[in-house]
Amino acid sequence: MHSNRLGCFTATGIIATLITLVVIIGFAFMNGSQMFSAGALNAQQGDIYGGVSSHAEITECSACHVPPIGADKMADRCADCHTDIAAQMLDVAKLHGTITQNNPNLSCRECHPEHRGATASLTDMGENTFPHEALGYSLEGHQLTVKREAFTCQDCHHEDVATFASDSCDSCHRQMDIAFAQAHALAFGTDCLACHDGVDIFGDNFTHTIFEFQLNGKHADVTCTKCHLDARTVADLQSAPQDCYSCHKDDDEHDGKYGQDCAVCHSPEGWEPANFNHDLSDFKLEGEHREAACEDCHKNDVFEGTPQ
Amino acid sequence: MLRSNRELWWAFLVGLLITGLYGGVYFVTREVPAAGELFGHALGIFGFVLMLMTEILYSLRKRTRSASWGRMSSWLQFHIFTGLVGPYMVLLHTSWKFNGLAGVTTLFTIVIVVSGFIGRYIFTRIPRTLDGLEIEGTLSESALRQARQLMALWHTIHIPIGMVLFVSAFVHMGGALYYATLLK
Repeated sequence: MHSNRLGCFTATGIIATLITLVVIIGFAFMNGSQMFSAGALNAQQGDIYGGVSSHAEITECSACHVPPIGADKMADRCADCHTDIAAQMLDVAKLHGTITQNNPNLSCRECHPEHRGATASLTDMGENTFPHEALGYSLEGHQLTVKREAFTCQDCHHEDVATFASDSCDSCHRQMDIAFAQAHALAFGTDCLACHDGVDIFGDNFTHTIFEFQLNGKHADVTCTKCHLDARTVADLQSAPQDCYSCHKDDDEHDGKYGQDCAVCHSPEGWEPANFNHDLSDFKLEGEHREAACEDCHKNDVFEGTPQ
Repeated sequence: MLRSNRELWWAFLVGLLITGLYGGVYFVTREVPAAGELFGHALGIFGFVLMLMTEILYSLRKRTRSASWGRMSSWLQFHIFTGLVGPYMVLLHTSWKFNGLAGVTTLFTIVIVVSGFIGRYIFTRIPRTLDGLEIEGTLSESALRQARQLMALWHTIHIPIGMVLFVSAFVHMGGALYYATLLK
């Protein structure tokens, strides 16, 4: 029963080894290197690159995988088909350009893993720092959640980091201040990103003084929507009228007779006192006219049609 | 020989420890440890080294008649210990995906463990000294002959399964190195 040969060198051992090798080589001939696949490739249909509309249509491993020896990198294979991204990587103003500039050695697959199943997301940042501001929204103001925990991508993106979950602002900001969140959504809509970019001027430290239209006097007390009615974007906010008459037409006791620029006589401090300057009319007060009482010319408070 | 189940308890304890580590990594990363990342890869590598030791060291010792290399019973216990812990680590290395050749290798890993268990109980039917030599006269001639035949049959099956496993494991490693680990 005891032989001095090792078990693997017995007849059955050698035959089993040979059969296994033949089967493996046979599979390799039939299916390429599919037997090494770590999982199904993504099958979601997209634009056509390199003649395929999804990675799952690629059958040759070597379409993406490069040999360990040689100058070629896997990222070069990506760039062969994804020419638009390859172009972006050279432009620092674009997302992939910013990423490439910040991390020159980062390969595509570190953020875009594959072989994770037909429906798995192709974007997963892992440990990599994502220049979120390059997408138009900075995370500067979103370091800790309402529970004082670090944000995860899923907090705002749910399943897919490539799409923004529209309810994610509301769900936290309601917990922070429900009255404000409701009133704000009612006044300015629920598309938060139309105005907010994470570090924008419309945050906690918002002040109207940075704008040309200063909120002095009684203007300081009016609600935002009084001027910015139905504003849904920054452009809407900026298009709020800045002339007096657009808002104060109904307040005009002069029925338009003194023009539409109220500020000639009035200030935001209130309609009274008015600062009337007679020299702005056609009849300038010069010499002794300057000393005359108003009633001397404007009898019975009639200011129209006064002889000149 | 093999009067205690000490090696099974040790394997169970070490398995528990590895499970704890695995759970810890899962708890921290909130992800099943991937086969190609630090922890998952280490599980695969060390698990396979244990499996290789299981095969090679025991086979070598079996063919060395010198008792100075340690008692056969101790070697068998070590063989059973590494033969359980190694495959368990390899199983955790899979990250619960059983694609292609890697899946086939896992399947054969499970088969060889089951086969090993069967072999252990056939082996212990034949009374032996601590050095693995058969003790004559305690079993009837026919019972001994039957047990020996069974043992020989088991060997004829266990060894080829092991060879299929090791060949597919080595090809798997080659593929993993080429397509993943050394990928630029």
